[in-house]
Amino acid sequence: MDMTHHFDPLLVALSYAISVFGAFTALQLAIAIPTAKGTAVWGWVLGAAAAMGGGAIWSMHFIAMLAFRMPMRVSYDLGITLASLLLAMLVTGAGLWIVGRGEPSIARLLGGGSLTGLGVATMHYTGMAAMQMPARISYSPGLFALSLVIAVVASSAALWLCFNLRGNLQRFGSAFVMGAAVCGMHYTGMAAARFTPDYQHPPAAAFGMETGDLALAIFLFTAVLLGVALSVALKRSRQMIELEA
Amino acid sequence: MQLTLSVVVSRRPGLLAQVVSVLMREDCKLLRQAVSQTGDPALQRFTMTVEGPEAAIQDLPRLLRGFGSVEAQGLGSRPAAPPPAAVEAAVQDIVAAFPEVAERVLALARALPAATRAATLSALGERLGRREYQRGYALGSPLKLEPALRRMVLPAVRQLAKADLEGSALRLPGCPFCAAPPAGDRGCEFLVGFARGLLHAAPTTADTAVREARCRAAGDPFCELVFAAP
Repeated sequence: MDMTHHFDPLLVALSYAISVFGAFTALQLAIAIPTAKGTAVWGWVLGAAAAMGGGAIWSMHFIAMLAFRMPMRVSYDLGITLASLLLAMLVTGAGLWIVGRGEPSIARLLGGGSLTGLGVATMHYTGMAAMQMPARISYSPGLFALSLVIAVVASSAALWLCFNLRGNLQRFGSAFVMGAAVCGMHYTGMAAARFTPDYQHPPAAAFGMETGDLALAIFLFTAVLLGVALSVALKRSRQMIELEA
Repeated sequence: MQLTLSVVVSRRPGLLAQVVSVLMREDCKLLRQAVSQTGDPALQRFTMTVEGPEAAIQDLPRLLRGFGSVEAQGLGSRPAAPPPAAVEAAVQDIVAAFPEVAERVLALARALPAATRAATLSALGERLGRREYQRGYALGSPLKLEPALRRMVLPAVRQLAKADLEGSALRLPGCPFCAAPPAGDRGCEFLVGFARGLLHAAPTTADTAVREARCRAAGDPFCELVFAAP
């Protein structure tokens, strides 16, 4: 079988847009972590982790996979796909918590940035492992390593912008850089992937997700993200009005 | 020599101890002290009668300016009276007009009696500084003094006037709150209060001393605020 594949440019652009939007929502929630009191901190961490893991990373990944056109039918193992979502939330949530709490330091930034970057990579490679198709995947070691480096470095840069700057660079710059971290990691990881035909490989899982299911899941995540982003924006604008009074 | 000083400061723990340590360093004794309310619940007024060498006493207002706005009233004088309703209305007008406030602040400064002008302008600046902190700078990791000056104080002050940082000093070459002699209008206390309000609202810079080192109204080429960590 000819394993030639290509990307749909419109969906590639959409994948970057959704990762920036998810990162914006996540980081708007995350910047409240340093000054949050008591148990409220867990609400901000959970919200930020869900937006980052679910929106910026997981939704982006599967939109990018929809953009990745292969000459064979592909479905996704439901269990592994859900595990990839939970892993992304868990690892990035830990990263945001480390950067956001305590005395700011280079060690915290690098620790949190590394965890967030590894959360992006963990989600990606777990998501790739969920692919069910008559082919096997292997990875070029150099590009695989490069994808991890991109994820860690760009995530650390995004978190520095988010927690240490103020104004538009804090609000929007960090989201664009985090989107670049997620997409840079993903597309470098895809460049590292080699697909070899294997007709012994199971063509589809018993509980697999077809592309239509994926699109629905992504839509739901995006709608929830939009709702969270709007409610945060409304809450903050109400606070501004109170301060004006 | 004895002197009665009135210092309007933000409420924060340990402040009285810091003020007393300055007095002890200057070989001055604290004879009497009282804490009273101001019109702003976030501010309080320390009124102190101190005794010490003449040179040290004369220098005390300058040394204590880092803690808040200072009025040296002379022995036996009473604290400044609270601002009248007209002043409060002008203050509300300035708060509502922020950041287009320079003309209004100058008008208020001209209308105030000399005894209360510095304290009122400083308290107004602090109020707007704290509000500005909550509006645009409270979220994210708390900043230490040097990054706070670059990322918070400088952009916030630039809403009000052209400003640049020179090391840890904020220079305003054409400060709209002051006028060069002979007019000599002076409103830098507002800017000092504004910068202090921004910094004191943040947990990591709450003890920063802010004072005016140069002023166009005194004939300097620019106004300059300097900042020092405790």
